[in-house]
Amino acid sequence: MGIKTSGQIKRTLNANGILMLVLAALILESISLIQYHYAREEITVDLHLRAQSELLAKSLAIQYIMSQVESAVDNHVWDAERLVEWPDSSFGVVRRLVEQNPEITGSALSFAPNYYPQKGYWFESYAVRRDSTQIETMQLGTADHDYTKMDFFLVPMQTDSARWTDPYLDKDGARMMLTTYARPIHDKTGKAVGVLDADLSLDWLKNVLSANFVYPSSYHILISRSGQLMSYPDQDLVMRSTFEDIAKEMKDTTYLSVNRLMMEGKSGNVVVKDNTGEKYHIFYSPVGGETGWSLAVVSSEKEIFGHYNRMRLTLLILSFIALLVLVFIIWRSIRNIGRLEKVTIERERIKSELKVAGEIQKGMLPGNLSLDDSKERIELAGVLEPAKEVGGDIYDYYIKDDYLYFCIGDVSGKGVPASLFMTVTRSLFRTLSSHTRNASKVLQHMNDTLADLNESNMFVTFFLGILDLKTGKLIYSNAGHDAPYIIEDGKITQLVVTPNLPLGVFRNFEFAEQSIYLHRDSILFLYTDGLTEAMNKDKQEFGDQRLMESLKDIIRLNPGITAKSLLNDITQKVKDFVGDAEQSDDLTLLAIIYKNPKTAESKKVLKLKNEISEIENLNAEVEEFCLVNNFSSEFATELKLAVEEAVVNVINYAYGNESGNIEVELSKNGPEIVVRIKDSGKAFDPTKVESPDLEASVEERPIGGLGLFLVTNLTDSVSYSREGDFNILTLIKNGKNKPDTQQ
Amino acid sequence: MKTTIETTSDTVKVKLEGDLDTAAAQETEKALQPLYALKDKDIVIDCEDLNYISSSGLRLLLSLLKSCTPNGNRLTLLHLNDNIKKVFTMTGFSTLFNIQ
Repeated sequence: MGIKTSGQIKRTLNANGILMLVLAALILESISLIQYHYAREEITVDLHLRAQSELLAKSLAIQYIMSQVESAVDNHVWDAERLVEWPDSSFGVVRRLVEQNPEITGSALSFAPNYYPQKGYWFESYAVRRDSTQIETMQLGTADHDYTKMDFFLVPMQTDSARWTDPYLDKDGARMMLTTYARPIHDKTGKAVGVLDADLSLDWLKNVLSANFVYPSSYHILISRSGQLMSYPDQDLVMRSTFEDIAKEMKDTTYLSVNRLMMEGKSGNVVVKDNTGEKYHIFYSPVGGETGWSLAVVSSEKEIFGHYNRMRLTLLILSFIALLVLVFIIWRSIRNIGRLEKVTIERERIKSELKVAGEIQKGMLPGNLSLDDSKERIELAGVLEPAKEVGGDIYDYYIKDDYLYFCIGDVSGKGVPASLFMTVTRSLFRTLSSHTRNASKVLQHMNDTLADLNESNMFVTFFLGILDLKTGKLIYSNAGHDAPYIIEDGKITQLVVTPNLPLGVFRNFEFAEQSIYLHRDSILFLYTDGLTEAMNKDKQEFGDQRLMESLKDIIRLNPGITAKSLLNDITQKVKDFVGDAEQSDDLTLLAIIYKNPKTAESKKVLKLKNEISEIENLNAEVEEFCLVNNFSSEFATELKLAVEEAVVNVINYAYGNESGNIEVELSKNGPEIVVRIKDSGKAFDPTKVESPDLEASVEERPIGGLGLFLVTNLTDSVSYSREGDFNILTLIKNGKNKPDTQQ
Repeated sequence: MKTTIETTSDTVKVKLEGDLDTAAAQETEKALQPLYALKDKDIVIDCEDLNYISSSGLRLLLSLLKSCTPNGNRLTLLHLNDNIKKVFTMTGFSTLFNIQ
């Protein structure tokens, strides 16, 4: 499930990532476009305002200068008309006009043909400024200079109105661009008789037009009434071409319409493309007044929007970078998801492997089935709750030849390493214990092997017990493990154990072995420190004291408790104590109840034949009698030997070659065991037999003669009596003289 | 009762396991017969897993010991448990045998 989900996440993220990118790109571009649109509009509005005000300002400046000339001429019309009857006074009129108006370069008063007959066909008085101080006057009209056919004369005369001429170049080689304002004068009858004019140099146009351009590279086009170029970037074309000439050379026909509209005195604006495809905005407007001129301002679109276009380009680049960053971030998160997915898969794999390992480990625990045929003698229950999937705790048991082999252990550390070490420990226990009933020897071999294998400095605390199910004799050896509890007749004590050392620490360590005899219904309770060190939320440990009290409570309430219930109750008590806190260590419990079916008889009679083969059974019976009556194993072994020797003596000598019976009566008398051996053979008092010479050398030492000596030395009292036909030998051995291993 | 004999070039290792009581002594005696024919050997008897011994067992060991000197064999007993050691001490056998 987890794997699928992460895959889906990745796919979803991939799709989402692409969608996000497209969306982000669209949004950025839309913002850019909207901004561009509004900015363009703003700039265009601004351009209109600027261009129109520019056109207006320039037109007004031109009108101002030209109106000064107009006024000057208008003001002198009166002078000219007053003196019209005196031809020569006309020179004074034009001189005064030039004198009084510095902007005027020259002035002429031209009369209708033959107006002064005495002066001839032409009469034109002319004043011209030669320099700042000198003004020259002269008569200009000649056949070569027939002013009567010129526009400046003809148009005012014919229309009877004032008029600016088209600009023209000064013929006198000044290469000065001039324009002339001409106005008709009248005689007393009101008839137009001549024209008063003033020449205006247009040098100032450059200055006026060059100032305050809309944009640095903007330029002006000024055309005259006839379309003559008066101002144009290409100086060579000024006064030599018309705007129409230029427009005709352009592919964009808009130029021609612009020319037409300007000639018609219209205002407006238009966008044109030059022959290289570059766009220009042209704003045009008539100059006004009497001029008939039209002025246009031309600005390159590149320049108008250039700044903004650069800004937009910058914005686009920034957007693109932002997109790249976004792509990178998304790519990285997809890659991280990929990594996460890998890690997740790996974790899932480890988890499932650990689960399997945990199952295998659980499978290693002994089942109750193995005890089926020993149910009436033993009852066992074990619990192992690892804190993690696998644990380092171990308990195990098995029965072989009426012996119960059991163990409990705790490997240092937790988790997988501990579990591996535990597995090795368990195998060693199973393999080594099956060959011997010597508990300390098993531990020594286990210790040596674990110490050899142990490169990771791990160790295991371990308790090994071998219980003789027939007698209840428990041989045990401990390797640094917590001492088990023993519950007998409602009394709870800790088993006395020599701690020794945990397994795997030092090679060649000699483990002490101990033994006790379990009574009927004795309970042996083994545990790992996961029990006593179980912690609650306040970091308090369950502890030995609480364990002892818990055991007491449980036993008091349930005197005949089963092993399983005991473990359940203890587990419940620990769980109640720990509460919601996390289990900190593996918890392992093992309970063994020894249910010796044989009651402790205080008297037992054995009937034997006088055959050596009876000895094995006799020995077993004697030992068991001692043990069930709570005598030590050392005591049992010694009495067993004494009884064997006494009985063997009877078998060998009492009946000769005949068969006969022997009766052995065992009875407990306080701290003593009394053994009566009765036979009906020939009378014989073994107490009279001499002791062997213990000092003799090997060669001198007789082979026999030890039996009765041992009987005497292994018991506290030996007495013989002949009662009727019976030999009665009575052995008494006191168990109090010897220290009991069971404390 | 189980008896195992293991022979190498100059050492014979005998392992006794179980209870060497009077009944078991008979079969053990048979099992040990080959040792009487040895010459110039080290005979080592490992008693680590020998739980119990009665006087018949002691007789067996004494008899074997007596056969060693004339044959040039040396007899050593290993790993006697506490009970057996006690019997050896009691009977003076601990001074006769080389016990390790």
